[in-house]
Amino acid sequence: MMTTQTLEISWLDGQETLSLSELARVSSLNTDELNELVDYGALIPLVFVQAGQPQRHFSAAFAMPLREASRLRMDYDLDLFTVAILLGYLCRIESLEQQLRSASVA
Amino acid sequence: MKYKDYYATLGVERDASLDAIKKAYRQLARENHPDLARAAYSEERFKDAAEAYATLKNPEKRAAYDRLGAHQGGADFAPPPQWESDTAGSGFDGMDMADLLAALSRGRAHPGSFPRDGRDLESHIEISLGAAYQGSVVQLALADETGRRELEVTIPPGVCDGQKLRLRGKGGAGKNGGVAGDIYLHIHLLAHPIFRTDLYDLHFDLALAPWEAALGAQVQVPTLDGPVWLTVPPATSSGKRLRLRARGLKNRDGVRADLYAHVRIDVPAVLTAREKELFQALADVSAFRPRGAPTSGEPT
Repeated sequence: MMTTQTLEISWLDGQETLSLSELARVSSLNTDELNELVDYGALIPLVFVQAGQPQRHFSAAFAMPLREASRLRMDYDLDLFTVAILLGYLCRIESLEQQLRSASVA
Repeated sequence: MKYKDYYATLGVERDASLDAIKKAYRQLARENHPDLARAAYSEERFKDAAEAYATLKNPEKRAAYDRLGAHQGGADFAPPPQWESDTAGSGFDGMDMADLLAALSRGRAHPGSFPRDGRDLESHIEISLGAAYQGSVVQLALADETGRRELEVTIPPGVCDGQKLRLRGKGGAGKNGGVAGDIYLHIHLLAHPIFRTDLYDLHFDLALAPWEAALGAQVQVPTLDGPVWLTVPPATSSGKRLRLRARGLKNRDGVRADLYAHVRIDVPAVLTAREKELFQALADVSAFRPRGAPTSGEPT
């Protein structure tokens, strides 16, 4: 049976941030794995202070490339370091695609 | 329940090492991955290989699977004895191999006793430029394990081509206390007959007559809010861009980007005698040399 629900949306772009746990949920990686990606330099955290404690947040622009890298990790049984490399290339591809779109209209 | 021969799926012996299993899986994944393979059967093969590998790479699951014994792939088979004793004969119908092995390898009595998060769903939607400018409501038709459903999504002004949106908790339903999945929306803007988009900026081609470009002119140009008059300055060359401030799309903060007119100088396809005469007179008196002076002689 078809049901209709109404809802609002959240944005996944550089203007939004995601907490460590939210990024873990979005990417299907756990928080330890995300912290390891930070150690590799693949993810750049933004540190906020909440209730006196520093909390890692991330640009929501990472969400979709990270989901893609995580999916490829599962599909090909890749290790986390490879995910770090992949993430760099996926972010670069996204940026180049945007540049290509801009160049094609200008 | 139909038996699945995971070893046959991966093309390895039952006593294959983990390395051999991994190698076989990666080879199949490479050949059949939906991102790369185009054959109709590839996706199914990839899913089968992934299911087989998920079990055989995990020592507990592999041991549980091996305890089921060897059967012909696709053959009906009965639940293992420990399953009957653990569950008092309940819960076997309607299960698949993955559920069974997950339950056995965890030593749980019932597959329904551990939480399972709902599936994330991805959807691509196309909206018009007008909808991106003014906001819109789109209907998403979704199909997952809970059946078919329709979701009404309010997309506010401020999306651009390539934007990704997340609908939290609106994906597949979780089971046994697992959280619901999310929906990821990929927004694509439909091509517009006049405007092209670059994020929130809009661009269009502005055709000018040679005399408008040379002398300057007031010309009517299209915008999302209706036509406006644009002042073309004298000596406007082809390829020049004229900016109409705050006539582009609104970003999510409500700030409008710009509209750019790309000047293109058109000439009449057919000149009247008088037009030809006037152009010739201009050519005779003008010292303008767009390519500089020729370096040698006359054309041959």
